[in-house]
Amino acid sequence: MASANAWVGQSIKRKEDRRLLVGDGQYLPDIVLPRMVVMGLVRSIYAHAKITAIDTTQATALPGVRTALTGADVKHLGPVLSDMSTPNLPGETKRPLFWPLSIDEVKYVGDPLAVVVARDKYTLEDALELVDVEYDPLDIVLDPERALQPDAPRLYPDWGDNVLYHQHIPAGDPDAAFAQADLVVKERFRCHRTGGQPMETRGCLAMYNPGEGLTLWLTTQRPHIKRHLLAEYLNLPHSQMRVIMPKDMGGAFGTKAPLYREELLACHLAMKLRRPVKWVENRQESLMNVGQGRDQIHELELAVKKDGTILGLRDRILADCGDARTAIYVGFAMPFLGAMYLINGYDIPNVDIDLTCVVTNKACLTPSRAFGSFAGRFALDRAVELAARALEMDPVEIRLKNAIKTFPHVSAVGVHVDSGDFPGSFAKTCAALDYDNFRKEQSEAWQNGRYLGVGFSMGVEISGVPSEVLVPMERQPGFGVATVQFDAHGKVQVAEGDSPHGQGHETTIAQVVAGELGLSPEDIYVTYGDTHSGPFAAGTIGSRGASYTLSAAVLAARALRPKMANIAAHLLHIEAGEDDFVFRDGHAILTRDESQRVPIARIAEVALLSPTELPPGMEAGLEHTSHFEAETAGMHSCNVHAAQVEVFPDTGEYKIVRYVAVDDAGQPINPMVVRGQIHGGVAMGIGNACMEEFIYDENGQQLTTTLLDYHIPSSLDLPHIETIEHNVPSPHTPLGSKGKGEGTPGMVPAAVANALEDALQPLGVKITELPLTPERIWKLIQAAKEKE
Amino acid sequence: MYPKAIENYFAPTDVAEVLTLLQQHGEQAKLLAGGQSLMPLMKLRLAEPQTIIDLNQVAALDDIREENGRLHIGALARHADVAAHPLILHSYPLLAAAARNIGDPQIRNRGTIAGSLVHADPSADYPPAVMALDGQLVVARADGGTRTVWLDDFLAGPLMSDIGEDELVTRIEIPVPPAHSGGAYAKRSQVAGDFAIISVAAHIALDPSGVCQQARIVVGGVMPKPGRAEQAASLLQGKTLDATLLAQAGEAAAEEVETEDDVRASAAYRRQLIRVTVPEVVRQAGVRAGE
Ligand SMILES: Cc1cc2nc3c(=O)[nH]c(=O)nc-3n(C[C@H](O)[C@H](O)[C@H](O)COP(=O)(O)OP(=O)(O)OC[C@H]3O[C@@H](n4cnc5c(N)ncnc54)[C@H](O)[C@@H]3O)c2cc1C
Repeated sequence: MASANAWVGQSIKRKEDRRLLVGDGQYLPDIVLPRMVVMGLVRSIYAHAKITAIDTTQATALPGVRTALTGADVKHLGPVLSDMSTPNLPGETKRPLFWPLSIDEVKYVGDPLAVVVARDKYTLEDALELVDVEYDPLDIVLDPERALQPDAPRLYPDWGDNVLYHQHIPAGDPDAAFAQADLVVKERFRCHRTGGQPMETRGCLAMYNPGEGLTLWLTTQRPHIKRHLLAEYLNLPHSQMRVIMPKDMGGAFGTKAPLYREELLACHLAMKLRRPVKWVENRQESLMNVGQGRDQIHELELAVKKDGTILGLRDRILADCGDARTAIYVGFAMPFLGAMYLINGYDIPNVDIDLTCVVTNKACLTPSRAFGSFAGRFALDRAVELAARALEMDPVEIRLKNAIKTFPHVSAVGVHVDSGDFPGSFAKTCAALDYDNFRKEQSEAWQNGRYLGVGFSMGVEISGVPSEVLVPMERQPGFGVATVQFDAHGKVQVAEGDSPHGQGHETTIAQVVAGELGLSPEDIYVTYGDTHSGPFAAGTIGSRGASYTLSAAVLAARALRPKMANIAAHLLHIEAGEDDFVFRDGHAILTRDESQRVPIARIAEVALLSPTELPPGMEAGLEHTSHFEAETAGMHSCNVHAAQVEVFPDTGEYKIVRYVAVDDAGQPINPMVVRGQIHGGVAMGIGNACMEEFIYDENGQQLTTTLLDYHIPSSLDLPHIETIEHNVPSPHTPLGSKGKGEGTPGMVPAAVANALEDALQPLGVKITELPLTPERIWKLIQAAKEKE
Repeated sequence: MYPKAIENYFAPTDVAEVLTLLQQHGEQAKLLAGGQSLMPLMKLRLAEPQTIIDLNQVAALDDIREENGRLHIGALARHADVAAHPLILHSYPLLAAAARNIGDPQIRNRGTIAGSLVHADPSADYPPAVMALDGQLVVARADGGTRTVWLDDFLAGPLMSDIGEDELVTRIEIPVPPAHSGGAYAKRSQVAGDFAIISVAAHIALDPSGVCQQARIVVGGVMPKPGRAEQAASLLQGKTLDATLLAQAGEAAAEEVETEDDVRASAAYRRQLIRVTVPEVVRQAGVRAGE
């Protein structure tokens, strides 16, 4: 897999950063159109209630208010979910019936029930206050276990229960495995509600005229998929439906992948009012509606041999999906994938996983970086730790014993893992930690009343999702696509179908294309986001960038080389083909006589400005579109993380003294960009695992609707994150590159929890729940002391 | 997140003008200092003033100096200025520490000491610190009078303080600490820049032999307002501050100060944090007193 690409592996500065750092970023709220009006939502103040009356007369009477609609006014648009916008997963699925605004009944605090349009945001908020809603409160259900009880209040009475989705995933012979086990570890793990909260909230701007149709500027990770679904919902031909993701987006972390009710309303209103309609979510709405992820209970059992071999696993997973009224993921796609990825980097041949997803009177789960697997990763890597402790085995040894050893590997539940090297990753982790010495230091510390600990986690992270998986799951393709197109000045435009928002595509794609074509990254400009000008693709999700999209750009660039060589040969008046040239330093250079060279800009000029100089019969233009599909059902990155902590048992406070991340990026294109992704992922993981929690009170009121209550860490709260590369190139991508954006947060909770428990060994504390707040740790210490 | 319309906005340049405006607009008006508490409340529409009287153009309201045995801090002194002021760093490190602990740099650059005290958040950093220094507020009234009030009395409860509609806090006054005295402040929060779960301010005066003459301990982050740990303080009186005594003081403070449950922490955990933090802070104050 050795790469001849000169720009691969170079940590050049990101092309994106200049405009972002000097305030020249172009975000959705920066877009202003003539005659534009703004939209806002009236949201339920009850977790579950009948709407007995809505009166919008006072609101519409306010000068500057254009219209106010309630659920009854949008019912004719039809239910939000169609076959196309509902995951198509094995198992038993129920489909919530709902409209862009709730009709007659609200199911969580924040549920949109009326929409108001006004000339400006101040008038809008005045008007929202004037919409008079009368409620008749209903019984609520907030706890997923309570939701399963036959007498629990129901969110969807016609369902007969609160079960949204159920799936049983058996493999091998788990009963036999448990019968043969020397040790059975059985524990209940709980992961709280937490996830992503992008700096930029959601928003959109819809514009309509009957000639061109509808244009929607939208904060989205997947413009093409949104366009597809919006066209279907609004009954518009694709020629009349255009989605544009603005040049810049202040993060997404999964939250901008679903199709939301507010987006449908903005489109409808733009068509109805014949005015551009803008909606920008405020922070309270964002914290009430999106980024709520994780939220699972695992009752997990491991069947283990005396030597540490894990023979089998059983897990009863219960996921609290909230009201499940978000299109594309519907609250259960995440727990589903989490269940499929539960065994992860472990080679466990016999499994019995039972997943139940329930609805409750809370906001719908939305995707959050590490998509569905955060909770399961915590549960399994904790359980393995408990097994090691019971067997008095080293935590590294038990992991090495059970880690996937040979690649390619197909897990018991059918996940294909192409490449990786766990022993190598563990070796680097242990060396970085000076692990053997640490154990000595630890026992000395214990004797002196100090509590030091180390914890490990290991993981297999998605590196893009292939069509083979995505088509049956979400009715969407997994391929990566890019159009590489020379302009008449010899610069290259790369149009991709994804919509990067922090992943650095403008830099990394420029690097690889520059390398393939003998140019410099400055010569390459990457465009994205507009469904009317970029190729169709599934969007920026699941670590597809460096695996799929970038590979497509490489293939498209390579596909141009024969034509470039033919033009060069023609200009040099020689007989030569692609193999006779190298592309370097902005030139096509004849290998057998390097003095024979043609500037690449000249080749582009001939192809575009001066086609009369082309070889006879050759078509003008210099561009190619490639669709990359890996020849495997799954590519992955194999990683090992470790946290070293000191715990202060008086308060349960702790310090993450070191955080070591040994990550596999296959072949990093820009190692600095990779490190940035890992830093961000670890930061998010620490925030989610240790500090952040969406808290609802007993009435279903969310108590964490400002950033003063929902505690996202800043750099002051985070340890120095030590990143170490341990790359195993993927055999399935042209450069060996792997995706790195999605999975990292999933590595964190077990690493930190294992470290805390390790430090507190003398006190005999067992950690089974997140978040790892100092108060929780202190309470566990108190409980352990009382037991003594 | 957009405030209700404001009818009048004034930017007076001296105190007399502020007082006249207060008299004219009284209950409809709000004084705007750093805006770090008022603006969020207005954006959430929890405050809907018709009139804003912006204090930021008022001259000489941010002076920091010692005068007649007292430290004067102008009402408009920003958190960042208090945190970095050489006199405060030298003689009132407890106050500088409190200011340094507030929010983030942007908030510290805008927020003012009077704004914080008037806002009276029970988890704010200044109130316990200023109480531990026996601080007072000087309040000017529209009728031309002034009054001086102990911060203890000024703080009435959560987000409630004893300020009239026609009144302006002009400065904070703190007695210059005696020789062999010192103070310290510590805050425990969930993330940097967050309000306190609990905080502790302590001021200790020693005699030349190192025996504690006087101690003041104040705990923040408790309802309805910061509480003085009187028993803990009296335990220290006349004694040398050794580890056992400090632990006893922590124990006493945890017993006497009332704690409650909220989103940040349970009452029991708050008690534990008080138990642990009081000895740390008193020890540090004692060390400073002895320097
Ligand atoms: C994100 C965030 C984090 C924060 N974190 C902390 C923290 O960790 N610790 C902490 O202590 N605080 C914190 N704060 C609050 C901050 O300290 C505020 O600056 C302070 O509470 C108010 O001061 P201000 O000058 O901004 O007052 P303003 O917001 O302008 O005014 C507050 C109130 O005081 C009144 N007022 C102001 N000046 C006078 C005066 N001279 N006379 C009479 N009335 C007056 C106003 O009318 C208003 O009612 C935080 C704030 C934010 C937004």
